[in-house]
Amino acid sequence: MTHTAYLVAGYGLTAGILAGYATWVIGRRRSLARTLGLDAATPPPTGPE
Amino acid sequence: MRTRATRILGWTTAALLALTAVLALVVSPADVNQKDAVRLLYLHVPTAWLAMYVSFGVTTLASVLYLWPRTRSRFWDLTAGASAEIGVVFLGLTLLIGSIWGRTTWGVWWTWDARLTTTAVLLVLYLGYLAVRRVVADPEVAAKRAAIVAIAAFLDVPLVHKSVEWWRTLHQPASLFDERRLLDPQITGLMLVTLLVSVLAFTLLYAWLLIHRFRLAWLEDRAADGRMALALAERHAEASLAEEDDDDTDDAGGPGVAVAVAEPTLETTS
Amino acid sequence: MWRDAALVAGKDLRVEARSRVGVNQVVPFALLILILFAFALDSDREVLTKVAPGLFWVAVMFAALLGIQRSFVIEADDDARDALRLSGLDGAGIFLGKAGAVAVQLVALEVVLAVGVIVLYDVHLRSPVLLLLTCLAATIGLAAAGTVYGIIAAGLRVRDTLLPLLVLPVLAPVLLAAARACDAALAGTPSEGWPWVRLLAVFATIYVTFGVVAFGALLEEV
Repeated sequence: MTHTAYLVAGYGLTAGILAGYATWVIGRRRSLARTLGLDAATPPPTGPE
Repeated sequence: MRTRATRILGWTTAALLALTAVLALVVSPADVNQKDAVRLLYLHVPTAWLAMYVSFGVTTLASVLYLWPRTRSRFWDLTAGASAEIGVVFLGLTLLIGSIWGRTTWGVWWTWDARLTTTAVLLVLYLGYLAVRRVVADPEVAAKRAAIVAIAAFLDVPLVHKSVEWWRTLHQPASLFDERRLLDPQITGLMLVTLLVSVLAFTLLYAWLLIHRFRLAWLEDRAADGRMALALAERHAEASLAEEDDDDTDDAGGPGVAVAVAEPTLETTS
Repeated sequence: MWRDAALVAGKDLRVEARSRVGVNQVVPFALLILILFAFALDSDREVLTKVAPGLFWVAVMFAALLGIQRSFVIEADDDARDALRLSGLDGAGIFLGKAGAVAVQLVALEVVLAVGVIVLYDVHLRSPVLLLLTCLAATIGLAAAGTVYGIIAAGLRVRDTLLPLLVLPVLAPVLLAAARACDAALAGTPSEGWPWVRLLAVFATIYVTFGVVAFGALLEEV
């Protein structure tokens, strides 16, 4: 593997994993909000009660 | 944090990440020793720093705050869990990119120096933490146990690092290259700027991910409460039905009694 | 607190004496590990002798896992756990008692394994003081840390897979330090081993303290 290939692998994997994780989090939040019947934008507590 | 502010944060993060990529891959120069491999460090260093100090630091702090009676709140438990999960993702990335970088510069995918070994142990420690959160059913119990695991993990890290450091310095292998020098190259000028931009970008990314992961955790928490309430309601309904049946009929009514008998056994399998 | 500890330790050891699970199962298991290592490493005498300390402590660690799980399984039967909580015994005392019982059993196991290592791996014992103190410090650390995580995993159906995941990374420094200390002892350079014993002592202190402080709270939960 040449240097370029390693760079591509490194940056590609990083972008893929981070984007995938972000998508999973947001997607699951939307579907869960739908199931609960809440507006997805309902703000949760911003601090400890 | 209000949703609009979050969105601004998100776009800022995306912009900074794009800038980082451009700086890292195109604009900044190759290193004297490592050539282009140094470009991987612009990813490796921020993820490492964010995972180890920021993410797990937040998890530990939030765990302490959760256990402290005066500040106890679901908020801290959810924050601890969210931060730990993001930390594990970042740490995994750190090891992955580090491994690729090591392959490029050292020719090996792995080496048993103090930092790498401690990092690997740290990853497993926090995977254990996440497992405790998932496996324990009762949210309150899970929160308390997980918080203690988090604090114990935090205490363990310096022990692991110190012991491995001793171990490796006592057995300094004859190496063609100085591993340590390559791990901390002299970074100046444009390279330093790129690194700083990258650290900033990843820090914002962490914050943005934390907000969203926290919201998800909060929703999951409410869903669990909802399921619990639903299950309780169902059992109460069955119980009152069974009582009605008993009142109506003199001899043991079939379904009613069966339900009333089934209930206790359901509860004891916890 | 110490009285409670002695009470609980005595109870646990009596349970073991009657059931003999440690003697009948755990010790043979540990010896079996030593034998399997010989297969895995191709019983070339020199290799085994060199790595004997590491193998010894790996076997002890796995046996410790079994011992800790056993320590909490006996509480699960007949709702002994509730009885323990309601007994009014001090949480710290219960911790010290349970950890103490595990430590005693581990020491007994280590004696047997030491004989095994001498016989099977052709090891010649030297620097006995260093070896003894290493075993003492490491055992206390293993028992203390193991008991803390044992209560965290106790009562869960996935306990058997969760406990190793939680506790083995934590015990990694103990394995490292104990093996290196024994290496130094057997090589006839005990001065290199004492720093490792100090590390073991630090580890043991930290986890005993942690257990004393946290166990009461953990016991209350479920």
